[in-house]
Amino acid sequence: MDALVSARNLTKLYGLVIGVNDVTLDIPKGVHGLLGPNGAGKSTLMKLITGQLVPTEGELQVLGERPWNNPSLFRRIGFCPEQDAFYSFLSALEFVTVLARMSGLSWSQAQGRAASALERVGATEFMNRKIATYSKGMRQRTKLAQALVHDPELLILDEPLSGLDPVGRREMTDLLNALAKEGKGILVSSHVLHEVQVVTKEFLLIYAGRVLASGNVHEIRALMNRHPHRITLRSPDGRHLAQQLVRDLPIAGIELDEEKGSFSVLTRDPAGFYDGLGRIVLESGLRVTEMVSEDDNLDAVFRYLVARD
Amino acid sequence: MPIFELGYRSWTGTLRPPAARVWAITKTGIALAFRSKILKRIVFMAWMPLLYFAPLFFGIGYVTDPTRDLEKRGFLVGIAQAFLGETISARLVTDPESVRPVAWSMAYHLYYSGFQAFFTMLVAAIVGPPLISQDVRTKAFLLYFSKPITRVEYLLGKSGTLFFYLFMITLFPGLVLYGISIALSPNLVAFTQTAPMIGKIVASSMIIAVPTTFVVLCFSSLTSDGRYALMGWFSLCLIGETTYHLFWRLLKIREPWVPLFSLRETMRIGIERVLNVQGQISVLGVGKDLQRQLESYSSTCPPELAFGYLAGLFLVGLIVLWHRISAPVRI
Amino acid sequence: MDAVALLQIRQFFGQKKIFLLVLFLAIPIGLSGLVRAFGDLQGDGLELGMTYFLFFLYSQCVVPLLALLYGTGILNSELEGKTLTYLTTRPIAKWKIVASKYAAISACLLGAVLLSLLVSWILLKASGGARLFLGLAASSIGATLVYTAVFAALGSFFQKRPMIIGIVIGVVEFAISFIPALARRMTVTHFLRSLALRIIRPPHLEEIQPLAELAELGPSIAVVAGVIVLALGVAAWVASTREYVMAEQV
Repeated sequence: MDALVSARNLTKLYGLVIGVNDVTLDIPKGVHGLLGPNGAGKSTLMKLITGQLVPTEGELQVLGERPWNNPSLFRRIGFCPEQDAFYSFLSALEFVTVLARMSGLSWSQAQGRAASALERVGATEFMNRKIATYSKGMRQRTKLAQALVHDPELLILDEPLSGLDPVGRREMTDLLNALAKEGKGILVSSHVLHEVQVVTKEFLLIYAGRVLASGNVHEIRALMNRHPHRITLRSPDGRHLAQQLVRDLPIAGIELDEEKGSFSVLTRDPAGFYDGLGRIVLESGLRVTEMVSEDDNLDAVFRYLVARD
Repeated sequence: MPIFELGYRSWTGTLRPPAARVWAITKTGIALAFRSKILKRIVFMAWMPLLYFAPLFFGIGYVTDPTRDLEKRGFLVGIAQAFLGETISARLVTDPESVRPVAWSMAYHLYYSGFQAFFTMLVAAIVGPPLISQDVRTKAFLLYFSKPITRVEYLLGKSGTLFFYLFMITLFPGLVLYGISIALSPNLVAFTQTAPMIGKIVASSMIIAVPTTFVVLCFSSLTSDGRYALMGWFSLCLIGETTYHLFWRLLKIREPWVPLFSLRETMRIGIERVLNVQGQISVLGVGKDLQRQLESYSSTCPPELAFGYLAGLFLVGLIVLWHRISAPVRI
Repeated sequence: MDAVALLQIRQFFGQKKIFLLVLFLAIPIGLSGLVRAFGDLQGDGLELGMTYFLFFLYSQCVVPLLALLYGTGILNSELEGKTLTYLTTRPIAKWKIVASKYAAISACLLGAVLLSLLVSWILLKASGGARLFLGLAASSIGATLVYTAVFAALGSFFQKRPMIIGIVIGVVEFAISFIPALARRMTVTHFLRSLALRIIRPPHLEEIQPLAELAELGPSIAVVAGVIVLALGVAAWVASTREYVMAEQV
């Protein structure tokens, strides 16, 4: 299989502190989110993938090669680190140009490609000013530009949306979507779940150094039968509708909220519920004015996965 | 059932005085610095000279005891001759008690200007540079001055940390040595004769600690990276010492200001003046060996110039330090 | 590699510690001025005195301190500034990063030190002629290269407090170099001193330093070069095998 990243029993220890714990995974081509709370091991995993750390145990391959002490691999990888650190005495253009040069571009190519990369991330306006004068968002764009400048196959982005305002976040996610369409492999780490969902539906959920789940969020959710799905409906005749649903459909529980005029059903068979709901509504003539599946999303999936019994 | 209010309740106690805030800053600085293993080892080693000086003071007390038969003082008289010279040792026969203050002054002069000067440089280098530079680097200024702490209290708190460690290797061991020396003396006459030594020990320690503290803190306040403050301090010591020796011994330039290149030598001149070693030696008589002794303690730099230089270092350090910590906080 | 070197040169001149560099190199110039004003710049022992004065001031004092400041920071400054990631995620081997930064720092330091030495020598009325300047320049070049390499190796081993360790090593090595025994031949200082004195050969040297106790010129150069290569090799090897963990990772 042509995996972007392939790990077998990968473990990283900092003394007695576990960074990554016996992780086995294959990340196929495409865009993937690496999600988890602070301290989950996301940055450790990213640093293993980018060759900054050596695994304590296990095997790791990125684009078919081992990343540790393998500088030639970095012609094919672009890394946007989490930390907000720069050579502040340089401008963004100088910064990205020198890093482009380090990536193997000639001097004549480097400046042109740097300008293009900065234009792509929306940094043209300020690229000739010293980085010391930049806002957080400007610095974030500069970081992304240096990751893109040498046109890598695989982009590894550690918290790329951090520090951006809502407009900036939207522009960044649009850029990531565009890069994904170009066929680049992208691994994005974040703890801001709903924003990463805009970019990709494929996730790795990591917690306490272990991978809890990987794949499409809906598939993951569907497999989690232990936690019934919660679906909230609003209807002018809520009680009657609720009675009919309880009688005819696979429902594990029901809650009424008279204040809001809605009710929530819990079901372990969401597909069967949705099928039956449509039939009942048609037959009974009762109206449903609103329906929301509250936990068919990443946040809920993650909460269920990390919750203790 | 009664409902108990478990929410936030305002504190109605009395705020402690400003001195408590100063002590809080000092105590924190002391505890943080004490985490350093190197510092603990250096402070431990700085007390080791007591193992040499305590027997020395015992020997001095023994040979200057008029109640003891000179012949029974035996080999210690020989050691005293080596340490004090022939002329002074001759006084051990005629007037042994008159030798005690001279010998004590010479011993303390060696203790402070030799051993403790070296340890002072090391301790100041470890404790001092991060005291203010780290606050600048981590923006802890914002935390300090969002509390009811004035700049003066902050300055006193920070300098208190360095003063504590410098006194740990100058004042406290000096006083302990004095106590041990009295205890090892044959009678209480030693105390009545040498009681002024307590004040001289305090003064000598202050000569070492005050300019050192303010110079190091001045360097620390000038940078957000403690390494540069460390470099500044070490450079002042090493380049100054090298320059002094090059001028004095190699090029034979003996102008009065030449010893001022060396902070150690400048402090030595001040300590010698406080202990009045030359004055006490001169009182005991004349002799070639006495002349050699006097030369080893003398300098072309008058003590007033040395004190003025040390005071100048203190003032310049204080002014720069005050200016830096009073500046608007830059985020 | 040249991009790394050029970036290092930009850092060298763009950082605040350039003020320390200027100050350190201005001190010997100022002291030379004082010697000119208050010293006896005539007489028999002038060349010997100037040799030792400038040698100790530069090769034993100012240069080692500058080498300590810049050498220990070759990778440590990047680590503390959290910019090391940008270098290690480029297709450049870590040992090449160390070598490029060392070359850039050494070149900048050499230029500054030699300029300061020239001014000091001129202030001292060019005592001893070109031969004296050449000998001091040779020892200053050797001192710059060797101490920067040694402290680079030290900085790669010790990420905490490399400066204090470097100063202790420097002071101890300096002290040992004066012991008239085999021990002195284990110090770089001895060979730098031999290098300078063998080239300069000031009059009356034998009165304070028997020539037989000095190393020959060839072996001095060989030892200094050997230490440079060894120290750089150690620094490069440690950089290649070590993980650099940013503070927030632990």
